[in-house]
Amino acid sequence: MAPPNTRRLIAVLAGLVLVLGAGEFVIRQWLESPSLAIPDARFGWVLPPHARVVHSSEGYSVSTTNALGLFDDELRTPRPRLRALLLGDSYSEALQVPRKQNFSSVAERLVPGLEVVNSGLSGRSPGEYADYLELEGPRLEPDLVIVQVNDGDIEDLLRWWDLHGPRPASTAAGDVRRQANPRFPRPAAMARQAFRSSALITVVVRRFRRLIEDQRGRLASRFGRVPPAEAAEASLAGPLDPRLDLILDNVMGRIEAAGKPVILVYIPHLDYFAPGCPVQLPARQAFFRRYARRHQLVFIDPSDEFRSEFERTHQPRHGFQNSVMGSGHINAPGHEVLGGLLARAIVAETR
Amino acid sequence: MIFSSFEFFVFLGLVLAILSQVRDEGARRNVLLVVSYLFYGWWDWRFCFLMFGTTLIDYLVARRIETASAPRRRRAWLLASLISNLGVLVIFKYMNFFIGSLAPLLQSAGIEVPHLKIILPVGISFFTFQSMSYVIDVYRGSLRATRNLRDFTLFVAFFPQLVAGPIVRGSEFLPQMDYFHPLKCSNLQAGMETFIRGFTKKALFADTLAVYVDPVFAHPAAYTSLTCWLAVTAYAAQIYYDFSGYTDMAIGLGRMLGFEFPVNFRHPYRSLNITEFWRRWHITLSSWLRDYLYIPLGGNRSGRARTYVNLMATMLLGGLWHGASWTFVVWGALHGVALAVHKFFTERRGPSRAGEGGLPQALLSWAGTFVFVLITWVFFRSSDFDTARVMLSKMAFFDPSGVRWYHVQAITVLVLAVLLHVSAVLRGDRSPRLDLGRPLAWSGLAALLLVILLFAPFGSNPFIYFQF
Repeated sequence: MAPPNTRRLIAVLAGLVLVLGAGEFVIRQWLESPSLAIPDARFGWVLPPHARVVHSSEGYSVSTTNALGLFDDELRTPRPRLRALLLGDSYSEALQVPRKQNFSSVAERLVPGLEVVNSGLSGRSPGEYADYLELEGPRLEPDLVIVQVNDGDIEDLLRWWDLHGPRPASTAAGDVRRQANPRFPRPAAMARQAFRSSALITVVVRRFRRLIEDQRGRLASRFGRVPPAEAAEASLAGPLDPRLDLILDNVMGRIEAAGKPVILVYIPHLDYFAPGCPVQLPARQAFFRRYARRHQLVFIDPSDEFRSEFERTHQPRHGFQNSVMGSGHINAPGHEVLGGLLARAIVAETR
Repeated sequence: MIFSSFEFFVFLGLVLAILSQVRDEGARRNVLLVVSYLFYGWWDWRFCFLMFGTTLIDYLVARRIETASAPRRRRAWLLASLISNLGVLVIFKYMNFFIGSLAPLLQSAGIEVPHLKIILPVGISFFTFQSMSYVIDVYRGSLRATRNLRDFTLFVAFFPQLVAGPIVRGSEFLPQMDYFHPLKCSNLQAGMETFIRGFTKKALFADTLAVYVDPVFAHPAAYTSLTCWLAVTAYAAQIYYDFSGYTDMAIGLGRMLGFEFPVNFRHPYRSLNITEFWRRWHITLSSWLRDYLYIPLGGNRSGRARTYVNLMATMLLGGLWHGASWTFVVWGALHGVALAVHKFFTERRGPSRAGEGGLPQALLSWAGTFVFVLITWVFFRSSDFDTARVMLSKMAFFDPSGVRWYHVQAITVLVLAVLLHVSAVLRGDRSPRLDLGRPLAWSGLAALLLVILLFAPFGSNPFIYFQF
């Protein structure tokens, strides 16, 4: 018989293991998935094929990636009459709503014979959209390219430019393929892999990162400096970097170089509770609109529709019951509106 | 430094580590005094001088009162202390409020009205009341003036209850200095349990509800009536969990360091009438107001009409104590009226016996009290009367137009709050306890921390009562 203290310790440890196991199960099943991102030489990271993803922080969905590692149905065979490739970020990925309710699915439903290959992934920026089109375009053979942009892409474009600089059309593949896969010392790699396969650890690490960011901001503010989050927020409303025209020309130039019709979809943020329900960052909206006009691209901006729908129904087209209504990503009614606009634009463009 | 922040945990760890190494009792008190001032100075070091100034004045005044034999001299010294304490409060907390309130009158007389740039020192209402009560107790002869300036300075500045209470009286704190022993495992464990309970209330309950409450109170006109009702109910729960969470953390910290603080909350939302509510809500403030304001005004010894006037005056000042705004005054006035009305009917009918009227009457009394408290919270939370008016009209007239927002997490927390209150009723006001002495409790603690980590919203959320 073990001494009482040892029995106590065993009981405590067994209890902890049980709680952690139950936590892992509950999180994985209903709350969040473990980190699925795989380091990739071409795009930085990709998702594995046929992976189950649970998303609950904003809206709710349980989704599975297709054979290409995208949140979309499998490619249709035989090839449909019209195939569009959607290049976008989390607004296209749309994990906040069930897949059949996102705007690409709505457009598919409204346009007979249309298949939209939704390559939207969280964290992607327009620079990577161009890379994706150059690398995957020949395989997917789209008839039409839809590029989705949002206000946050301004910072993404600048960051991407600082990292990669100008890149002439059709050199991305060769350029990035020279990069080696990130290598880690073996034990560290194994530990990292083990951690990444746990939903519990993924969530805990994510939360701790946010906690550290928050703490940094608090300390910065305590010692009289502007916290990074506040500085970022202040820069949103400031004037745009003059290099942006050149950067967007370069990035979009590579997308247009594919020789397919391009539709530019801008996702606005509206200040729903301010008089007149204005767009939050009009300078950014104007920037993308100006580009589309200059290059004679079809430009979809659902701001007016979101506004009139809000006035009619009093329900914002952003936000969810488990987040903050009026902010964040687009909800299902918002996707319905956007999908309708996209369907009309596709019909007009391919007529 | 917020109790639920990372820097506070580092601070606390260092304080406990240093105290565990210091053997001399005097040195331990010195350490506590220094860290208490560091804690306060972390927010703004300049106000340490203000706090020490008021402390020094009250220390000297109390000694003068004790040594003075003539009642007139004693009264004069008491008056000096009251003027100094209330003067500090008026200057730092109420000056702009008074100027703003008089502005229309002054402007009509052609006088330019300035807006003074005054920073409100954190916790000023708490430490001035605490210090003031000590001088009044010495004046009344119910407490001997301490001869130790360090002990008195520590009483005023003691970091666990410095910025948001509970309001501890000299008679409760100073005698404990005589039993101030080195850190004890039993105290650390008991204190930790209470602290964790408070942390859970703040991080998991109050902060989650704030995510819902703040946007609705920012634009009440944009939401449906049901959403507004839900937001006000969520605010009632938020302020309770925020403040009682802070209090639990303060009591827990005090216990870790070897001090006992008075209880501040006893499940107030289970109250069956408004008088009972005030016996369960912010008990240290309501008893302070009773002992140092209501009773000196005459209490209920000078006739019925005077009793109601005293009640109203006490609650009006109680409202104003919370913040320099007319919305707080209205909040206090509504509670004053309700207390007077309840007193009037109780005196006419005589005190009701337990169980009288049965469950239906109890439910009706509870519902009436709860709805009244909810309505008064609208004034307490609203930034101005216009917001309060819109919110109340949304609540009064069923208006289905507007944003429908039934926040999942807020509703979950409200359901949990109801269950906790019901369990408190069934368990005779006892809160669930986390007894870390039992092995199973560690699993419970791990599960609790996991739930906090998963669901508590991150961000700098100061305690609501810090602004008072």
